[in-house]
Amino acid sequence: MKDLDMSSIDAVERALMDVGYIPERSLSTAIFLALRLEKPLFLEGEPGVGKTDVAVRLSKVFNSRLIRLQCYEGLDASSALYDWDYPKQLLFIRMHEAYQMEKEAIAKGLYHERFLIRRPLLEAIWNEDIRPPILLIDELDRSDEEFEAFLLEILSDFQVTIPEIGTIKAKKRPFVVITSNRSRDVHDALKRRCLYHWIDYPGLEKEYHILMVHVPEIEEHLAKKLVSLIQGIRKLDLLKKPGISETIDWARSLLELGKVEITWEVVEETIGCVLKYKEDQRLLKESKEGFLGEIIKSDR
Amino acid sequence: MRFLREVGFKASQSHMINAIEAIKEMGLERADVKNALKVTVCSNQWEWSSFDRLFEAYFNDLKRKEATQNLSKTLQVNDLKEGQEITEEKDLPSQPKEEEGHQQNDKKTLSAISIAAGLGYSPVSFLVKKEIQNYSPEDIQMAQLAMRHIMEPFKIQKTRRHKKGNGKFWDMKSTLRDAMKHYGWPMRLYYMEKKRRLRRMIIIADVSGSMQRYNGMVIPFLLSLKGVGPKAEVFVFSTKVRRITEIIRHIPLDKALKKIIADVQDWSGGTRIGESLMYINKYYEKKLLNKRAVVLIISDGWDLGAKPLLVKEMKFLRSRVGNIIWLNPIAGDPSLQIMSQAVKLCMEYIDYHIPAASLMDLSKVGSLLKKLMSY
Repeated sequence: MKDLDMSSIDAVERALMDVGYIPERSLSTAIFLALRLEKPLFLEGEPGVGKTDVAVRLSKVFNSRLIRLQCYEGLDASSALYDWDYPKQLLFIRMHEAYQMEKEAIAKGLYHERFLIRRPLLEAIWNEDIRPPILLIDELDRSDEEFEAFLLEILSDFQVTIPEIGTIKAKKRPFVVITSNRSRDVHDALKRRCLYHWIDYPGLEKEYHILMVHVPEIEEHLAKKLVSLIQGIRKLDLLKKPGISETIDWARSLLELGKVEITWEVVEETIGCVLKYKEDQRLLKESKEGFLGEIIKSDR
Repeated sequence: MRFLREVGFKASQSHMINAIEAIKEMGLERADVKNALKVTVCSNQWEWSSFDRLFEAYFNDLKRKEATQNLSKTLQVNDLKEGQEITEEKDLPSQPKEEEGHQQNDKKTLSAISIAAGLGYSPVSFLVKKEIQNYSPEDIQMAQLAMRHIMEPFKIQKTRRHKKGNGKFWDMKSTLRDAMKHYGWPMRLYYMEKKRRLRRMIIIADVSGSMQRYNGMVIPFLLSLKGVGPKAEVFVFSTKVRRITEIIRHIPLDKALKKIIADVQDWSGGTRIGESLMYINKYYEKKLLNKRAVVLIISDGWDLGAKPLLVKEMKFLRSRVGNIIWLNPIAGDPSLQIMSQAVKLCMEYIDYHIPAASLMDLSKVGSLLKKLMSY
């Protein structure tokens, strides 16, 4: 991706803001360095802070394809790299037997490229696009250690050997973004091959700007109060703190319901947009008389 | 990089190479250089949040020594204060000489090398039978290593869903590969079976005053659960319950203890087992409690709370989880022939009541957990 015009950190920052993502300076630096050094970017943070969105926005910035690999427990090479279309292969065998083709010809044609199912990793490596794609490996912490070791090999050389076809090397290295919710430690061997960035919950001003970018039709005073309230809610001892996506969802919900002010009744009506655990909702209701109540009553 | 390593960063050679390459791409703005070093050197949240302070301290010579001392002291294991050689010179010199480096290692008697080597030394086997309340600070560190060794058979790892075997799922890939030997005609069908999965483990550890002398066992045991995986949850309780899962998982072991003690405000307070179980049953029922969970309670059972509440909550917990194991440091003590009333009341809800006064006792826990934790 060195041929793209991202000649400075400021240029990266401007490009991201143009597509609606408001980055921290450190994140812009990390993306800039990842482009220059051609290293994967490892983003860690709580759910809902915008890790996945970085890759989505970058694909818009570079106008290139986003290839997403969603990780889960049990993910292996056949689901992530490639697989063979076995039902088609069996049909192929059956058809050619019916036409009494030579057995050697059947064996030769059985592992042709047309039976190869390209999964996301192979898709990212073996592509003929003008611009290299953005490869998003999402929630790597959900996968297991065997998959991490397998990924290590792929990310080192960006080449894959398919025994029946040969070695495929990426002509243009994809830009790799790996995200993790930190539900477990990802191995150091993988992390040290990447540039690391922790994305934290945004501060008051930044979250307000993010909200205004994503929900421009919201009134300013409502946005300010909503953001203040969310910032206060995050200080509670919750099972799952609301992320930026919850803030945006809440704002949109309030607009849909035609609410112009935030009162406790409104909060209780729409609490499901923000807190997804019954225990957290109970805790919020118990905080009514505390500082959260003050935020709602204030004119800020 | 050496400075960062000595305060606990993992900064390796490859981090250094990345950092040098990154700085070449930067201009002269201090903030940008700092960010460039941060993204190349840090590899977890703790390092990320500490980096800014360390960077400022390092490049400001006057404050560096003081900041390093404060950071090192606040991050050290608590027991280092008891009898360890913490001198005024314990801070990190700017350019340690080779001969001084060895002396520094001598002073830091719990350096990584000596701890790692401790596994092969006889002190570990000596510790196995030693009563835990008699542990010295050095013993605690050794116990921590031994604990990892003991828990090794029980190490929880994520597993793949299927493996080759005699199950009922058809293994297309192996079948067709084998079929190549017969010009594509499948002569033999291969099957897969589900791999054994692991249950969720919930540890509820008593850190009240009566358990204080067993902290040398409890804390290393909790800290050894670091590699346990995402399905384990760790709670400590005294008069209140505190979830410390994130501390154990994400903070380096030698710093986690201080953080745990700082966060648990009623450390060595009274014991209210019933109230603590009520809190967990109430707030974590949906998220954690199911029939595939194994609950491990570590307590001597000296409870100050209401007994009917304790029985009620234990009964509820038992109805929600697969197994309950109670580790009791005083269970094997012949001088305490009468079991604590709390434990007696709860016996009908406990599947396994195991004495836990020494490391040898705890080795039985590892074997039992290995048996219970997979399904």
